[in-house]
Amino acid sequence: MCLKGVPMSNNSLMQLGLKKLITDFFKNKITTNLIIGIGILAAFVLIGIFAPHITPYDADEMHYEHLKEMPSASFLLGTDRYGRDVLSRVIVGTRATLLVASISTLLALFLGITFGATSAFFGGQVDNIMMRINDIFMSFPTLIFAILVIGVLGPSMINGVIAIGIIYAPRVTRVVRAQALNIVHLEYIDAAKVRGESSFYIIFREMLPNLWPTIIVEGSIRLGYAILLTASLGYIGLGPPPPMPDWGLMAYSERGYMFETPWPVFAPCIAIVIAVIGVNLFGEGLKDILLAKGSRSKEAKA
Amino acid sequence: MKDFIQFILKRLGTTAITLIIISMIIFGVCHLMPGDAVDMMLGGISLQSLGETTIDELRKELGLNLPVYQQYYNWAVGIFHGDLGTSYIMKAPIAPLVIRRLGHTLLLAVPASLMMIVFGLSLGILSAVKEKTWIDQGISFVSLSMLSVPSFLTGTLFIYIFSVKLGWIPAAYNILDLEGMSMFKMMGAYFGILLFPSLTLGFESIAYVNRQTRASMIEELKTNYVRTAVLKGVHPRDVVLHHALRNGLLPAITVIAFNVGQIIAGTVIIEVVFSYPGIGNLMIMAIKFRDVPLILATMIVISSGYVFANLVADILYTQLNPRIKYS
Amino acid sequence: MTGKNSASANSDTSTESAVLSVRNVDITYYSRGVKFPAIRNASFDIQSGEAFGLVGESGSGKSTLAYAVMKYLSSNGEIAGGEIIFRGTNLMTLSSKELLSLRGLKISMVPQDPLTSLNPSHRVGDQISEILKIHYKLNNKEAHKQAVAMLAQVHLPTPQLTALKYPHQISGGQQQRVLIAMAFCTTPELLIMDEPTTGLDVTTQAHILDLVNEMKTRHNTAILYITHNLGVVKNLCDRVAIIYAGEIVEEGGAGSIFREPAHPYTRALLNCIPKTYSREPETRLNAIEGFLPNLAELKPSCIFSTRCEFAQDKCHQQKPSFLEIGDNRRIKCFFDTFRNRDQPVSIDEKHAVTLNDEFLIKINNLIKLYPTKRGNLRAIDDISFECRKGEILGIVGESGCGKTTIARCIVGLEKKSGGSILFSNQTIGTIRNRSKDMCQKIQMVFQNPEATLNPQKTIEEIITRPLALYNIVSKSQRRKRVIELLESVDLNELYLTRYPHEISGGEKQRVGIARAFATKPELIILDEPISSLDVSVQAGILNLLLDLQEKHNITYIFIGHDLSVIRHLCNSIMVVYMGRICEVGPPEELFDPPYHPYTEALLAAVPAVEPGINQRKILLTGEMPNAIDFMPGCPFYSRCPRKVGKICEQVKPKEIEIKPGHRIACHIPPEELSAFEPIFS
Repeated sequence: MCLKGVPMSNNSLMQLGLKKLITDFFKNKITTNLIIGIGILAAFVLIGIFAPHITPYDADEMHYEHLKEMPSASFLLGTDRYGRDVLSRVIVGTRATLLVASISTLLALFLGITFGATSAFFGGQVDNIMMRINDIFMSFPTLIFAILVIGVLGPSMINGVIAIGIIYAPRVTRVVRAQALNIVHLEYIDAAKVRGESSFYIIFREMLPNLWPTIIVEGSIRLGYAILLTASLGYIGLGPPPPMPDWGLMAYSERGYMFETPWPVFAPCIAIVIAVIGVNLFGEGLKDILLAKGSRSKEAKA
Repeated sequence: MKDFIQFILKRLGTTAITLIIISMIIFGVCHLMPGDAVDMMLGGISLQSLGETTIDELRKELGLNLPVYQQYYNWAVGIFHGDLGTSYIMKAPIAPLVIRRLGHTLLLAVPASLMMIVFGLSLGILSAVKEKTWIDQGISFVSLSMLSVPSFLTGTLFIYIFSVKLGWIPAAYNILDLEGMSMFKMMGAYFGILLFPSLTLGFESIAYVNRQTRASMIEELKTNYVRTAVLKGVHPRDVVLHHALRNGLLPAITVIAFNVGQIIAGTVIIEVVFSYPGIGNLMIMAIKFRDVPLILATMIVISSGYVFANLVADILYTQLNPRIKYS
Repeated sequence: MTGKNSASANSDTSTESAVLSVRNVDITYYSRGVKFPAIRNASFDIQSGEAFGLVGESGSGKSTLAYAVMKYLSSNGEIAGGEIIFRGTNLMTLSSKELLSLRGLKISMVPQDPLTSLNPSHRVGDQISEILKIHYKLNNKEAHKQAVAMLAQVHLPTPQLTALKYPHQISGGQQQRVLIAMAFCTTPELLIMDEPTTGLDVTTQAHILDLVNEMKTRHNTAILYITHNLGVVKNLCDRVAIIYAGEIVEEGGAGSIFREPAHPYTRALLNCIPKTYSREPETRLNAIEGFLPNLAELKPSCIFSTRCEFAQDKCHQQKPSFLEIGDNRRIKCFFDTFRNRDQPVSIDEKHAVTLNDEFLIKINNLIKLYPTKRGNLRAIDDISFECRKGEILGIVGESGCGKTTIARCIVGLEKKSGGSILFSNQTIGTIRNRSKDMCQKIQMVFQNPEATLNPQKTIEEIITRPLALYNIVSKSQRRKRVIELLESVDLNELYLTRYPHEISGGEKQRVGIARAFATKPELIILDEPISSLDVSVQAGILNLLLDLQEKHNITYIFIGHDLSVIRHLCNSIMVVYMGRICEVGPPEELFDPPYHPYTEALLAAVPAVEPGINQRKILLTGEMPNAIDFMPGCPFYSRCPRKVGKICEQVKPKEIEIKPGHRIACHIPPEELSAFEPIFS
């Protein structure tokens, strides 16, 4: 009584055995959100990598004859109070902000995954204690803690990464733990335990593959917030110290001259907004694919 | 009733412990600062001209020669007596200063929170009910944009438009004499001037609450009990407001409380943007000048606000959710 | 049998007198641009006071049709054709306002999952009074009074108090009664019930069915009863329609259909189900081969032709229309000649176990406690039993009796609080404390096929892992072994690269079984492995399990709640109630007296499908005791209809051996137990 050949939709990618995540990706409608998001992010990454080479002028070069000018043919976004080309400074500023934001997000994800998944798996007292500690860290308003750490340790990129990473880690932990708790009592985890698998194997080889969608979506949300936080810290003077161009700091230091030319203030702000919108669209697009209930193909019934 | 009081006391206890630990962390981190206040005060004066003994005396006077936990203890005890210490740079007791500034900040924060609750909830419910229509898409788009904009940009934009270009509001708010105003003038001042920083403060939070409310309402509208209500013949309006909202509001409460905290913390940036004499601005100044007692005081006050907002949310959530209240 | 009223004798099915008349209804769903004709050309009538059963498996569309009668469809569905006429009014022509006044007043629904169907934030009484306020414009006080009266009508204890409770504070059975109260409080003319007893215990189900009958006769309501449980339909409904893949394939009087099923699908369904009592020698269950057709790609042919054992060329090329076969019955088939064909019979060999075989596993005085605020919850309360090599032991009981906990203790997922478990004369504890050797020997098959496989792994990866972990075969041989294992569960090589979400529930369960067998265990615990599957799929898995057991001479401990299934599968049955053993014995002995009073109640509650047997009815009354309170006597004392006296409450009954291998724990002496009137005759 052998049940042969299921009437399945023919999918050659499936027969090649590619990873399920990628196949889900192609089976689902890729939304315009996602495309625009990826486009923007890709643009920023490229700008960040090639920054010094694509600026029309050197970012620190002061042009004494052209102070506080409005945009013109030679200075596309105008100049600031020291005569520096705004466009160049915005381009170079990409690096600082994006580096700090992305590395700190990765740090937060790493910490969050480790603590969240482990806490959910072991449950009981271990979970209780870890969550209490987590709650204490979460009781600090993000900005305040970042200000505390950087204000005390001194503004620099590394301190920025550490502060933001540590501040966001508890929030990621909460999200990962919540999703892990949904999984930890499912039967395939029990089956693994009955097989005699080690805890490490179960957490990282059975649970984690099912947590990726949540993690990736949360990561993209965090990245957006990280960019905003980095910029805000720069604004209050706790970002990477001058002369390194930093978007937030640029917005702050040039504000006194807004009535002469608003561009040195608003150009970096616009860059921030575009970057965050790009990340958010990317996140929304990812969420539609990875977390939508309709992302499974129609099941065969019998 | 007895259960309720027991529950509140238990929560207050946990909150107190949290605050103590937070204060310890802040205290500890501050003492990691390279150099101490004495160095700060002396500034450029050469040490040799003063002599070692004078510096030691100065340290002793400020209590800086004591071990860290002793200093912490002294300071903590002081708080219970309402004494928040003395500022190094201003050479004045901190408590009255902080209270005054806190009042200014609340003048912005409270209306901002109210705006967040009113607009966030109503727009969220509206989007959920009209899911996938252009109203929903429009609100979602605006929300997403609001979330992508740093608060200093919104504030700066307001200043640019209404101050630089239109001259309606002052570019810097520290010139306002807030204490001297009568109630009436205060209200006028609010709608004319204070609206802007307040609105900036609430901006991001409105979007956050809106998105969360929308998401949870959409979930609720898909449940079986909503189906039961529809099949009972309940009017669609009542299905949303009487059945779904009751349950959909619960996750929204958590988000609202979290955002009240965010608003309190976010005043830091806004007050810098508008040069507003509030507690956030005070904290930034304290950091710049390494005025440790002032840093401590302002951070504790702001953190406490955040912690209490979460406490209120916790209490509300457990009391409004019958599954937890009667388990 | 539970009350059938004279409506079944009434062969007048004219539309004018019918409460509900469904005529040629088509319902279509749209998903990602693809059109799914979920219901095609459905027609039936329901008379006043008649209970009409709509029976089908998952994917048949029965729920869709039921909700469509109330014009409730999800946003991507629509009624594409036909008419639904309620008391002369065509519902298709009604405005939404008119519909609003009809729903809840004249047509009511009792949905499937009681806990999620009640608003968790509203008190139970308020949810009933709301209906009265809307439809009868009563004020709060008056509505509340009537709501309480309604709760009393559905036999809820302390209705005044219950009305003030929230849904999560009452049990599943009570929640369902509340929903029934809600449905009947406006004395509707038509009541639609969507599988209202799925998920409830068998004894609770008996109560609910009894209640439905009572309300039906009292209010003369027409009932449309949706279910997949043929036994329930046989005992409750007057007329039945069988629905398959969106089409009604047979319709007629319930008694008649069950005595003589005419459509091949109906026949096949009835043959899949293990008999509860009939004294026929064990016949092999006939599972239905094949799969549900893809609704998006329908061809003009008989909908069941791909799986029908009698299919002929005509069936694959044309669509049959209804054939009247007399006695007010009709089937959707070209032929009416299969009714009287005998079913080919084959016998299921169960490996015979003698009483002299060695013990594989021995449980002594097992205790499992869960600490709570008020005391310890006794999930398992001093249980001792043993299982011989090659035996198939069935543990049966209702929810909360502790059977799953027993399974988890044996397998090591839970830590026992007392007693010992000996496996091949070695004491075993939790998984952490077991040797790798021991882990290999005891494996488990789980209940929920949707959760039993890791969604991120391919079938090959899932089955290879245990092989790799225990190095059962060398690396180069693994693929071959995986294919062998797949073939042993009637799957094949094509499944290797598939992911769990691409295969059906039955197939997932087969993979779960293959995975359990991969380590070459000596004992497999099966925790309700077929409860979530359709009846036709269950049969296939049961046959498979028996075949594998025969081939490998492996020992099974099978946890279940369905006595018919357990009777078919096991050679020893253990009945458990509130963490204590009531009775242990072979199936030949268990279904006739002497039996434990609880076993008797279970047997009375099982909705039997076989025609021609009588089943006595017993309804248990009384409250279940709290598992936290101290209970020195028999746990069944509070509900036992044969309670002897105070001794039942105060002294724990000893296990009496009626015959070798058959033990009963009761204070009633064996002679009296044998004298009970049998449930089945």
